[in-house]
Amino acid sequence: MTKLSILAATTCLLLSAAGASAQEIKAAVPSADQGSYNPQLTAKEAVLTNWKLAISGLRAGKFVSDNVARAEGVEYPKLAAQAEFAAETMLLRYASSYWLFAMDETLDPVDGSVLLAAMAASRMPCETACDAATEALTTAFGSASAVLEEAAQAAELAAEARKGISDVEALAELLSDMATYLDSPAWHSDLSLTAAGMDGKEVSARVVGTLAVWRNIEPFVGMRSAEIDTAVNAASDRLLRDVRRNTRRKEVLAPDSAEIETIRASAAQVAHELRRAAGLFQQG
Amino acid sequence: MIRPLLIAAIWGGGALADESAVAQCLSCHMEDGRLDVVGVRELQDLPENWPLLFEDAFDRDGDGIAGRVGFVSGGGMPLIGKWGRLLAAARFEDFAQIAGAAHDIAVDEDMEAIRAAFEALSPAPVSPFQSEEDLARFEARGCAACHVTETYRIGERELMPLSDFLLHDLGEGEVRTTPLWGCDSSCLSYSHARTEAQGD
Repeated sequence: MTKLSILAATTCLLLSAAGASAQEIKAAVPSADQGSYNPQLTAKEAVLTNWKLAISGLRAGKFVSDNVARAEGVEYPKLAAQAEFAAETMLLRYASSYWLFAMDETLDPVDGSVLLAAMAASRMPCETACDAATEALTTAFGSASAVLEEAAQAAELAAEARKGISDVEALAELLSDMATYLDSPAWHSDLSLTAAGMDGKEVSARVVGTLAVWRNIEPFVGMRSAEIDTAVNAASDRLLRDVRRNTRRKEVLAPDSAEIETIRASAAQVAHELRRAAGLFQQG
Repeated sequence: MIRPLLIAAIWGGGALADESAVAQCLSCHMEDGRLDVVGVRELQDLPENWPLLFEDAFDRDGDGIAGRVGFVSGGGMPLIGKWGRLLAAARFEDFAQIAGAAHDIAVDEDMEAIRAAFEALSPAPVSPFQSEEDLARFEARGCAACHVTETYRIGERELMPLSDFLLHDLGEGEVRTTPLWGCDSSCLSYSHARTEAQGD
């Protein structure tokens, strides 16, 4: 936990204890309009940070896709290098945001064939007369940009809907849904880029995306239970280690492979601890 | 056109100008007749999602470098920070608020004047690279892992901030990758490793 995040959580929870109801973790962050901007996140904002991270990730994928799709007069080798960076960025950001689609039933994953087509186009070799290869790149990345923007807009609406719920509800929902996601096959099934030999990268990003979520809300859990905070961190460290060991340079990862089984066991342990963390904010 | 007018207003306006928030800000930010903050206009137009192009909070790629996005309060919805060494603000006006509070300068009522002054006086970014070879050497040394060489456009201008705008922990807490778009070629001889060794 960083010093800044500890400070943020302390501020929020002290203010909460001072006068807020048990339902709300009031952070009382003054707005810039009041003349004293405070950058520290409220509990609700910390939850929404994860939505922002995911939405911005999808938009980052769109940004790099647009750079390829709209390139004019760029020599093919330079465009191909741009496309390679774009394809990798798009995949990582999309996969890191994948928990969105498990968390909210109104959100649908993007069509994997569109991402695969962009990846394939980015790998198309061309030495001379590259008009067709250039057109394939611009078309494929134009399509990728469109589906990522569509997904980002839908996620924005889902995030907006969460602004109205209480801080404790928001924290409980996120922790609980992350647990459900890690306990489910969602992080290793319906992979988009198996044909491109990128299962390892996709699985890795789908799991690591949830660890980023945990980091963003950890301070609020830590202030309620240091024991649970430590337990989630220990389980997360083990999961991260297992993801690194079992996904690097893995072109294909079958659902029943030893690698997935190892990660699944660690993911289940994190899920268990996240459920305990969610319990800190649930009623009854 | 605006620059000479502002300078005239700030230094030629007598006591009133000296006491204004703009004058107070500039009294520390001017160095050799130039504002010491480069790219104020350009930074405001940095794409919001820029840090997400490079984010790797858990060193997933195993290159030994982890960098995370700095989020700040946005009055309900978090924003992605891009201003300041600690990425403490997403918007110029928020950063000015923080700086104003730190230096006991009331900036609220003069915010637009402060913005105008900083925009007018801020030097435009320059590239430290004299040639493609300079750029290739920079990338080969590994500097571009954080001082990224990706670009973005404002109209017809292509800008290379040479920063991923992520927070990295270099051993003394997390700090933003310093944008090098205000550097001349002398920046290219800088080395984190050598500096740390000298400090030991």
